[in-house]
Amino acid sequence: MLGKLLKYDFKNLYKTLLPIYLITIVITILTVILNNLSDTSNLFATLNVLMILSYVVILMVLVVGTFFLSIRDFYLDFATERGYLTNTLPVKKSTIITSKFITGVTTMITSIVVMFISILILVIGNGEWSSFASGIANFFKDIPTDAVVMLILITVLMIVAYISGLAVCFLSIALGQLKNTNKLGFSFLAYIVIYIIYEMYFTFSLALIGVISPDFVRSLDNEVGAIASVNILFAILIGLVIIITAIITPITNYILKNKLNLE
Amino acid sequence: MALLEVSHVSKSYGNNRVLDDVTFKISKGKIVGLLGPNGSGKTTLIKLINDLLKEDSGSIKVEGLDLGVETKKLISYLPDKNYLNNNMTVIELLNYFKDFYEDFRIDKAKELIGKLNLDLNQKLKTMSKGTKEKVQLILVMSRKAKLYILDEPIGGIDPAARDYIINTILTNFSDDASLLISTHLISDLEKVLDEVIFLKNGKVVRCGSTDEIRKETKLSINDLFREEFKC
Repeated sequence: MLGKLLKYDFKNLYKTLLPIYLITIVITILTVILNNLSDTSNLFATLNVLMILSYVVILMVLVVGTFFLSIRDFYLDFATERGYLTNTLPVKKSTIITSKFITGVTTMITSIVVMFISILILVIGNGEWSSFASGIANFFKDIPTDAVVMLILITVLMIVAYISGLAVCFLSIALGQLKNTNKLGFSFLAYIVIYIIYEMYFTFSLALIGVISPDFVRSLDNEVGAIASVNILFAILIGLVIIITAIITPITNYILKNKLNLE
Repeated sequence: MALLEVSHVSKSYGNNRVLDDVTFKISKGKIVGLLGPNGSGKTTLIKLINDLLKEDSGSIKVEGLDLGVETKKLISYLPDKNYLNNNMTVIELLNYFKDFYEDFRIDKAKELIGKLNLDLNQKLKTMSKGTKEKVQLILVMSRKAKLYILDEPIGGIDPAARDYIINTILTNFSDDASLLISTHLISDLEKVLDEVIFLKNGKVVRCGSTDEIRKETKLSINDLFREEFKC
């Protein structure tokens, strides 16, 4: 059943996202064209400024919009009339939630890929490809192993942090739907409370590490071996994010399975 | 074993007790009217049976099973409002139901859609309210379910459409299935009801076979309803 849910959840999200991807690429191409024409007249120079602004806006829409769409999709399925269909399907609640996580992360990855493609078009169109490519090549030339590990850890941290962000929003909606009126307002309120607890959890956990291992905290300030220590810190952060997400998600599942309130 | 067994179910919203110790059973092959005025708790009861709400106390079983994935396979439910994704076309909705419900008869659904002269590629959002309701009904009645639960399927509909809906309901469910239908428009349905459940202020005030009730009270169900619920 997960495959079937994914099919419809992806269809539903990409119906909105694909036009945004297309608009992003069109605005990128127009930005490149106007940038190349901007020296020929004042009109093109003015249009170029406007197009650059549009470009920045569309990139923001791309990332923020993707996140917003995933949250909206979850809200519609558990707190509105659309839930009458979703929640009478012969499917476990945990399967529905899993589908929302998978589609949420995948759509964000595709949006980021589109953003990178757009940036590449901009670089190539402005004739800066060779300097860009050599800059990248120089960065990776003789890169220490610790730095490679750091890049990998940062990527993993970004992915787990995004999943955790979705988990916090999903729990907020699960709590908000318990109310009979103003479910959206209570979801926001629940989000604020969970966010405060979430921040306290990280502050307390990191402070605890400082108390248990002051040598590790000092090693972060040392120039020698600092990258290795920062990598350990990233690994700890990844662990902490995974732990809190593993606590939050079963609570969401429990509420939606045992306390669904499509009143 | 009863097909549906609702036992001492109560439900409150805050201080407002919407259902109070509701108990009844539905056997196989019965058409049962869930009758009561607006606000009597009909929709809440139906949502509880469909696992969209949770009871405060009591239990609900379908074919002896607690509510869950297995009972959802047995129930085909029509809510009292538009619950489908308006951006989907008719054919997408048919495929959606076919994907999730093993008992969905897509050919039957296409045949019924064809009789309405609807384009399979038409989006739900471009349809009138009445046509959307007919599409929803077709989807629900095209399942070969054990229990059909229809919440106010003929409420707020013109008499011609009402005939279409009643006819679609009665000609598309099998003999061994049961139908629980909530309404306050009793005269249109009285002749087909085997049993009735009268709900008043969240309590079952009368429950049983329509023939026996008529015999006992010497009133039609419609007249009895008017008598029981007069303001």
